[in-house]
Amino acid sequence: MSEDVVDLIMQDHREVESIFEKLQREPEVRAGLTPVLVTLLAAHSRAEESEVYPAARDEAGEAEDVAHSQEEHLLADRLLAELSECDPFGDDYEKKLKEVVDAVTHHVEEEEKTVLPGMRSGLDDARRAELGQAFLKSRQEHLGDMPQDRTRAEMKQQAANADIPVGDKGKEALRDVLDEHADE
Amino acid sequence: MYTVRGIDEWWLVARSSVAKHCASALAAVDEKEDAQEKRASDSDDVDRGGWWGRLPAC
Repeated sequence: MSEDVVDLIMQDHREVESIFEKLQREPEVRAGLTPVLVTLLAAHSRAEESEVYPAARDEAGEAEDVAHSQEEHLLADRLLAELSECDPFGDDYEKKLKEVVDAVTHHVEEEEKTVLPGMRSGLDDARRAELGQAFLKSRQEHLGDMPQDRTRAEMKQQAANADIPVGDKGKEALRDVLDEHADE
Repeated sequence: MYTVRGIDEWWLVARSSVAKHCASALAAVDEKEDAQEKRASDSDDVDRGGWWGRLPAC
């Protein structure tokens, strides 16, 4: 199995696409498979945010695309949390699933056109393998998390990925800097 | 390709959106982690004898 972080991320993308297809075609599997989709995507996102995006941003020159990808992760988190609240046999489920599929498919397409090729060309094989190990370890640790579960440190990393200067700010200063950038 | 202005706008929108999400989540994160810290601190207190150690001997 490849340890290249770009290959590992793309494998996850293909896995998620196959889960989407199953959820859309086979309503009877929704009750069991929706939690799998939700936790897989949440763990994948947290691992990318903590291990991959900082390297893509600082070492591969992908700052603008990383900021946009981070924004899309947060949208996907919200939609996945809403999907997990839907009755898999109810009327709302189908509509919410479509929103999740559209948002995640768009994100995957963009990431595979921008951030991932940038990492492939901007980082050497050894560094991508090192990031692959870190990505797998982090993803393993986050399996079981809900999309909107996050620690303060993870939230600060999400902000840093979008170029918000959070540094080691305490609670009040952190609130101020987030409010300031939210108003831009 | 993006124009320079396009990149600036793209980045600003992303940054502002992430800041909004994080700001709205901050209160919940603070509440959860403050409660965890308090529980850990109370537990340390008990381990060191804390209130338990101050009970009058029977």
